[in-house]
Amino acid sequence: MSESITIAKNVVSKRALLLAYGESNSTSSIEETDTHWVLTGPKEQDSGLSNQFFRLCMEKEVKLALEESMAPLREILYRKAFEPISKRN
Amino acid sequence: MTKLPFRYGRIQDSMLVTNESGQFYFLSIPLFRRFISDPDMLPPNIKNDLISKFFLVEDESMEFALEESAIKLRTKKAFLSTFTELHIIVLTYACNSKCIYCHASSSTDAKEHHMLTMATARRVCEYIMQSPSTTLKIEFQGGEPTLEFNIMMFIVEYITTLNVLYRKNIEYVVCTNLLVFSQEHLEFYKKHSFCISTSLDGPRDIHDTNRTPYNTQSNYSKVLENYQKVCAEYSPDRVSALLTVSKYSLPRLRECVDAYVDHGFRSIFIRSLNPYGLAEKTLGELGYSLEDFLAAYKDVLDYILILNKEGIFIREELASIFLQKILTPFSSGFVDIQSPPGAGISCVVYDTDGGVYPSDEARMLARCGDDSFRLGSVLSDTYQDIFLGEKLQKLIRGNLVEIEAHCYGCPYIPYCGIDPVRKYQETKLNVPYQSCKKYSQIITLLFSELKNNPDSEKVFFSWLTGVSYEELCL
Repeated sequence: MSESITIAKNVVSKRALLLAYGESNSTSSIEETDTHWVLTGPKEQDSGLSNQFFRLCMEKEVKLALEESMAPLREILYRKAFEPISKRN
Repeated sequence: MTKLPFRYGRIQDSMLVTNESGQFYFLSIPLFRRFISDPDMLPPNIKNDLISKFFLVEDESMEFALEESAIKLRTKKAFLSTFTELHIIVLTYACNSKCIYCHASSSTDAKEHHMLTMATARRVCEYIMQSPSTTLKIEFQGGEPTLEFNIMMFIVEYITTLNVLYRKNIEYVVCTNLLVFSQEHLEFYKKHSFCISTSLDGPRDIHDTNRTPYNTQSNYSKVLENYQKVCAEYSPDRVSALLTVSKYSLPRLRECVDAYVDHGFRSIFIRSLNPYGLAEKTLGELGYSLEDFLAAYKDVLDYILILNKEGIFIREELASIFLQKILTPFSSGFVDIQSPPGAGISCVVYDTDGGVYPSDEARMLARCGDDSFRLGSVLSDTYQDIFLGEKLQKLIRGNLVEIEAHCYGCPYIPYCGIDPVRKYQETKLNVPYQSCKKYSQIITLLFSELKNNPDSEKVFFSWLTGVSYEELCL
């Protein structure tokens, strides 16, 4: 039997879910309800894999938050490095 | 105190943090948490280290830190300012060796020999000189390019003539199996300061199995005889060799390294099979899994490090490509692993029919019947059509590690790159992200060495600087 888990959408965002999905082979499909993500694992999978996947989602959530917080400085850095001097602020 | 842009990933029991220009630092997990939540509370020595490497900045120094970081980033990406430096010319598909993994789909059958004509060669030279780069590296490939030595001489002479006007710095490289080699060749190479790139697949039995002799004479004996001649009459520093790993050499890589050392080579490039040409067709027979390659690579890298620590200088080139980016402010110049990709903007290939391709792999793919990456032809398109064209721009835009979804947040972004042709081929063969797995595991291996073995760091520096390991230990 394949195992399903549900995660509330206000806990894991779609971006974090997709990033984790791209990196993991413990989930074979994702369905969406109004409030939850429903994840189905491959057949005969170890139930611990769902927990691993959830943990990976949370790691991606943290990564997204950090990346987002650094995005404005990263943009300034790239502008300073590569924009012609005449175009810089 | 503010954090400057960084990425992170776990290496064993530590967290590796890297920044945009490739500087790195290891933090224990508790210290990493403190770095994220309250960097002011870090121990002073660690805080100072992180400030000096531009991971942290005092708020009043923000402008200075951003300017400095921008300079470092620009230095790391300096290859962008020069545009296409490496120009590869395929002289012929004829070859005098029958390598079991031939990536170039070369042929010993006269009916399949395609060669560059003088007229097309002339047009190729005029294209090359239009490159805005002030330094050019012109590489002759095949097949076996020395089988068309007259065309090679014509190109060098015509380029020399054109260069009276253009005044560029020009280097030449010939990729040859060293089976055809005469005094005339040697004198020509010396006169034009050629670099010679050859192949040596390890000890005699492996080399002759992989690179089957066309006649009855051992390929191995001939290659080494001519290699010794180059060393004696030209310079050992002007010749390097590549080791293509087949399933025959995979379990015997240490012996392959011994063969290189015994014959006086100072470097070895351990290259896994690429899915092009004959290798694509015979992958099942000759191939091995990525996991097997990585395990063998780890073992042989350990061995190479031991040899270096015993005073035998031998540099592994694939590791050196990454180490150059990890340990110095500069990029490596290796066009297959850089971002933006080298395709077209750092390297271009002119095929025998005048076709222009963004990389050697792209023309190899075309030779297998898939010309998806053909940018145009020197016979029918202008330089601007090809190099400013939408096709090349789209290729570059679509293959940046900095914005590739699969690479999101990866701490190895400053050291890595996507080869668009390889990515396309991996997707087609249903083995996506093979290169990502390979490169990320090799980079992890190198960072683990840097973290755990200070002696290995000295060996790595000796590879990058040419200063001996013994001197670095003083």
